[in-house]
Amino acid sequence: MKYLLSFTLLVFSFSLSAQCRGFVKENCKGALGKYVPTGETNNVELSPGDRYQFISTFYEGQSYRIVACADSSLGNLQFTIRNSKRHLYYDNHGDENRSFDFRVAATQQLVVSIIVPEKETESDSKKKGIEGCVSALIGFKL
Amino acid sequence: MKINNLLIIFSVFFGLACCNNKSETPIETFSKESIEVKKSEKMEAVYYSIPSPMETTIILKKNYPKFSSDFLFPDIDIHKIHDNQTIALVLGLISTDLNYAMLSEKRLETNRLINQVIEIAQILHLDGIVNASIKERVEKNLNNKDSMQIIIGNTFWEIENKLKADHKEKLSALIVAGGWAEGLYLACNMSNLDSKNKPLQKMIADQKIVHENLIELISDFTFDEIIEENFITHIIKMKEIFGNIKKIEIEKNPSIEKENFDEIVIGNYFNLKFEKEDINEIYQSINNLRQTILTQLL
Repeated sequence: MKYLLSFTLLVFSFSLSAQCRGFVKENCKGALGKYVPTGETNNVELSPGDRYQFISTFYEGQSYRIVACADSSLGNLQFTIRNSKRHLYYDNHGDENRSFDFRVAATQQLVVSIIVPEKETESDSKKKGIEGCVSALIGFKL
Repeated sequence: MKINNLLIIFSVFFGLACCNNKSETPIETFSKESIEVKKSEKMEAVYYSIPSPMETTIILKKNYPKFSSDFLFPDIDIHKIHDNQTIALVLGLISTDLNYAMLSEKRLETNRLINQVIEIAQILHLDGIVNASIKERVEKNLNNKDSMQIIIGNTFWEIENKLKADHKEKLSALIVAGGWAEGLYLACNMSNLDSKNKPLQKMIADQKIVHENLIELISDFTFDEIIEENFITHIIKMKEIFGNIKKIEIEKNPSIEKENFDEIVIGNYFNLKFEKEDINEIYQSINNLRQTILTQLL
């Protein structure tokens, strides 16, 4: 029984991560347009109210696009970009804008945060337990 | 019933954990380095990533267009290596070289390196991504640099994606670290041949910032002893050398401005202050690391 349990857990976790991987490939990558993916993948499964952050280095002189995307069941993501001292450079305020094109003044680290909105209505609250794939992709211009 | 409940609880737990390459970290913990945060923020995962070898080699090629095959990692029999962590590290090193050869339009070297990447991909069970069809696409597009960059860029994106999805984050981290080390090796050796090339020196100095993220990225894992001793320790030790490079802020207030071509420029303006000796030290250090990999790991 112990082996059956372990096997089931393993299969379940692999299938979830495979789904997330497929989701990113099919639904998010296209938003990079002519920007080439840097190779960094930032995929997680989040629930309403969760926040996800990553810190990446950007080179001076390069043009970048950051794309944030998620399962439609999670609603509109809030997506922000800050410096290491948390000075805010970009905030989509949870609207439908999910990509941002920019260059950096000097090579530096930036903090990208993605926040999944809380569910407010009664029917929404039933969905609170729902998890969905969230991904942030970085692309650079050739 | 109990088992069903257990299954649900564990499944949710594993489902959440499946895509994370870092453990849950209180956001406050990275204030020790350079990130200032609000204390009220809840616990959340923080991830670190660094520029890809392709991006690095593109910048290198802009600043030093000459190609030297002497810089490339020597041809090795990958089947003589029996641990996956060393193989992943080698994949990282070779991926940077592949980008370098491909950007330089060196058909022979590109072919040799893509064949090695395919061999390694088979060993790491990545042959669903890197296989003969990729090789065919590469060969067809050898004269079209832009298409090649997209093919290679997408391929390495998929490799990282797959390794993370398969819970092989350690291997993914080693590919990233190996790719970075080889990029720095190329930059330093180019700079050694062209000692007055300021953009190259700046590129090397910029690695101070990339190195900070790399340290965070690898510090979450415990690798095999042989990798820890011969690679990780060395990478961490480079912190001292990069520490000699000082960041000088030009403007106190971070700025956002629009350039002529309507691209927004964000971030702080600063210069990195370094001496020729600092670049030499980085050169020595990365050459030693490369030598250690060749003599101790392979």
